[in-house]
Amino acid sequence: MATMEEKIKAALAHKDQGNEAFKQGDMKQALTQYHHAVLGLSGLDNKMTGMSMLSGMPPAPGAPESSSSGSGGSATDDQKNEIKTNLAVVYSNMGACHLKNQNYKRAIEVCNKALQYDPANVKAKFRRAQAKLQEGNLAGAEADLNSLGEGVPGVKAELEKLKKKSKDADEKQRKTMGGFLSRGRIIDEEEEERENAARSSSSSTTTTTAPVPTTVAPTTPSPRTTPKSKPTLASKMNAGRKPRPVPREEEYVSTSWSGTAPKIQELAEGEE
Amino acid sequence: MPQVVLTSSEGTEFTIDRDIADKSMLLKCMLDDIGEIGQAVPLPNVSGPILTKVIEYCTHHRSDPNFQSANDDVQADIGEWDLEYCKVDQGTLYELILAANYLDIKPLLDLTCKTVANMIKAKSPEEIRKTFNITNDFTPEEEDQVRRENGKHPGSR
Repeated sequence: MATMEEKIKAALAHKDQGNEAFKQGDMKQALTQYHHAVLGLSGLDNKMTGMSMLSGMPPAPGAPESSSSGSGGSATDDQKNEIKTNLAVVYSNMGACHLKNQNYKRAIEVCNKALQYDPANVKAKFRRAQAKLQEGNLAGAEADLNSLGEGVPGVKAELEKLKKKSKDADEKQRKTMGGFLSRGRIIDEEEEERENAARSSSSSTTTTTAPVPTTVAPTTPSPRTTPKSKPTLASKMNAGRKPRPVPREEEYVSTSWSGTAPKIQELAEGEE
Repeated sequence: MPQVVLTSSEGTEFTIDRDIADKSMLLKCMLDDIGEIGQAVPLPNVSGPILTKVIEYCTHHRSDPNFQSANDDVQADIGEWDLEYCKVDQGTLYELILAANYLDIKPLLDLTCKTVANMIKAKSPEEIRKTFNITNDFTPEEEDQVRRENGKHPGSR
């Protein structure tokens, strides 16, 4: 009967074969090998934890006790760590297979398993984030990515993808809710524009207060900076914008934007 | 019904129906992932006698509709068949716990753990020590202190 060491070795051989198959693009073979590695490793892991838990137990006479613990004895601490780390890697690699197969639900499941064995397994968390993103669980993906930090290769790219996806989803929602929320939408977009304008003329830091109208009005002592942003703002507003109800905007402008009202009106003119 | 061949640690082959194998989440996930594999599934960490017991359990509960959540109610009494099933020596019982954990058969794990819990329940410390063959390594002072902290007869309610 195999010793603990031999068992680990046999299981790791399956892992290596799995990696080989993965490189060749044979996901089924890779998964088969990874599963065999799990069959070999996870039992050992359970056994040790179980055995240490039950260390005080008497070896009951006639029990098939020899069949398991007797064969290899229990693992050393080093072996335990080796088993756990490798189980995490194997499960994480299974996650890569499932990602390739676009089986995102399973990918998340196996990545969860991997993280149970080794919470510090970066690849498992990254793959889980990818799977969540594909599944449309944007918040979950973002949480995973953020916890990894942008220092991890690939995280930045995934965050970009995520941003794009959430923007698309937003757009879609806006379209479907379009008429219903039309008014809120205008205000929303205006605020966005102002923010953009503020950013585009970021040479002067004072304009960053622009998004909040009420604060702008009293702090206009630096009015020369805002006009700079006008062209950008106007052209942006021109770009593919649906004609918006002008009277409403004027009304909006005249009531709360006393300070900068002229500029806005100029803008409105430029747009039309 | 498709069949699955399992190989125990000593190399004995067990042929079981797919729905029995599916009671083990470990096997189910594997079979779902890679389909009919056409070769035996090695279980290098389960012995033949224990695997026999596990298959017996899964076969008996084969058509339980809510198998995976069957023992979620920890207070519920153990069924008659399950009670009989757990009347094994301690060594076998612990092997069953390990196998249920390994194969990821939650109801069996719950059942076997509950059985151990019941072996402890309503026993005095001395009885528990006797049941599990534990040496009393408390000094008389420590023993006294524990007794004070837990009331006069800890364990015997």
